[in-house]
Amino acid sequence: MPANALKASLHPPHFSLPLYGGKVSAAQSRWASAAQDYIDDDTGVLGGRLDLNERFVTNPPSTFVMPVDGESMIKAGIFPGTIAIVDKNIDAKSGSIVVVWYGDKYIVKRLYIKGNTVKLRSEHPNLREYRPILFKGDDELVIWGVVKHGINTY
Amino acid sequence: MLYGGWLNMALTPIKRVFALCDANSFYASCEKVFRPDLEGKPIVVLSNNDGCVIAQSREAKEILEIYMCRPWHELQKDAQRLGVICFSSNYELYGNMSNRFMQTLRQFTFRQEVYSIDESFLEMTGINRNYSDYGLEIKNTVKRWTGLPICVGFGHTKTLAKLANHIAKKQDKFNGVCDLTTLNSTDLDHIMESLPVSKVWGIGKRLELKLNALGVHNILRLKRADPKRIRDEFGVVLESTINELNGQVILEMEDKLPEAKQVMSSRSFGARVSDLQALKQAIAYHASMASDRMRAKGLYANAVYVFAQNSPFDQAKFYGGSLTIGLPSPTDNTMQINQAAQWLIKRIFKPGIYYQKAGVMLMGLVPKAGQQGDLFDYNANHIKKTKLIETMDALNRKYAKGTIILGGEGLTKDWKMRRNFKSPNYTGNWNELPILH
Repeated sequence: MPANALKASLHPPHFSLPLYGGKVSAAQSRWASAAQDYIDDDTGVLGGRLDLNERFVTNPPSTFVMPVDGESMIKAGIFPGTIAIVDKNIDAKSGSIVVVWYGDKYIVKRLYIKGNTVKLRSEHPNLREYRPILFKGDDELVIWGVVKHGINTY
Repeated sequence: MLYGGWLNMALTPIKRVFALCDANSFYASCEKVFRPDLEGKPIVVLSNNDGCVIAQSREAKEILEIYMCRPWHELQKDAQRLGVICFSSNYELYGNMSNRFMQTLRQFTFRQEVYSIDESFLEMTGINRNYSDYGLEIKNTVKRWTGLPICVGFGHTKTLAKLANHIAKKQDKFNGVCDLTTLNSTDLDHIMESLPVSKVWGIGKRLELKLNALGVHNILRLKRADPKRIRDEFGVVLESTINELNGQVILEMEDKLPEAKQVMSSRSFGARVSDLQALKQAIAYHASMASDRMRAKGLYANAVYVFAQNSPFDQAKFYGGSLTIGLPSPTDNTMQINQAAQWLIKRIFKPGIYYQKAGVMLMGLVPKAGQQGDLFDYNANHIKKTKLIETMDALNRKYAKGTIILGGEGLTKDWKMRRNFKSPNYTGNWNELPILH
């Protein structure tokens, strides 16, 4: 695996959007030479470019990418095909969207904690079909990570 | 007052402190991160081609301590009866998790040496903390960020840090963190007396036997041995070890890994190969893999080495052929390297041999900067070829590895390594990521 697979896969040039299109040559002016620091090495464009990692993968070592297959969270905007960006370094609180290893697979649900009640809730119009999973007493709930972003393709 | 304090500080030499962070059963732990249901279960990881056991989880060590390095086909039945779960090695995954581990450690130090895929030294000198607490913080952060369990050892030298790590790993009361820097000397001596010399960094089985013959049975005896006598008998390396055990820093932090002297790509065939055509395809593949790796390091090769062999365990007589050829001038061009490799394999090939393994090694590596073309311009087409290779590399990077290959590489790689029990590439392939339901 290359140095950082996630970084590599989210970081090819086609993700980059130049912000400002004016080319500046080094000798143009004093202002221009001061601006050298802001010129992208690859494109020669002033202003650098947007890096999606900077915004969505704020902590690469703890960030994992997991695609969604299933409809239980469609009311939360998580659809079959959504790419979930999961961070293991986020404290799960009541209301967090969490990744949990349940039985023999990973599930994505809304965590609900009130007093001693711990539930994993689906967000689907038909809640009769998608009942909450209740954890009580000795039931073990291991939260693998917290979903921080979902990427949808339209 | 203030002045006096300053002076005092300046004159007191600061004791160096090193930490060694080492992942527990690293390969098995990587598998467990993505399979929480395997927590507490015995796991083994097999070598290339599912040959033998190369890694075991703690649970596996407990029930089959002698499984390490033994051929899997001998153990399979027993192991399965005992509920041992086996995995083919998934190096893509282990490499990715290793990077996450190393990156996580960076925040805890100003100086890091990545010592191996699952070990890293951190310089702790001057970090004014209770090291047991700090070690626990490091351990917990790595666990939280990556899911990997680790142990942390602190010592005044790298050798002592390594020993501390060993103690942290083997003695549960330390809870994964052992700080030898604050231990009083009686306790330290007591621990050293209880451990065999083979637990010291760099002391293998053979050296242990020699030392035992001299009456040096435990680490304390080694620590108190006369360094000069040891040097005369065993050389400077063991002398350094003794000095390090006594807290004198001999081994420095190496910030960069020593530059690779060679780049290798080789692999066992899934099934024996006996025809030249198939062998040539394999060699073309390895030539391009090795060139790829070398280019990524910004290096040029001066020589190409090719080898092919049958298995020493086959009924037939052992045949291993290898040849090296020097290149007219240093190059990183896949086609030139492949050309040389193809020329070599034709000369190594003997009909009637059932080859089990083949590979390409690039040697005499030199930095890319400052290379000159040779007098007869072997690199006449260099610029054009470089462009082509760049495009190939870019396409291979953009899409899956192996999208664009050299003509000789062939399309069906039925000689590729056997990995029957491989887990998905959870972190490095869009098609194999863990799925959320």
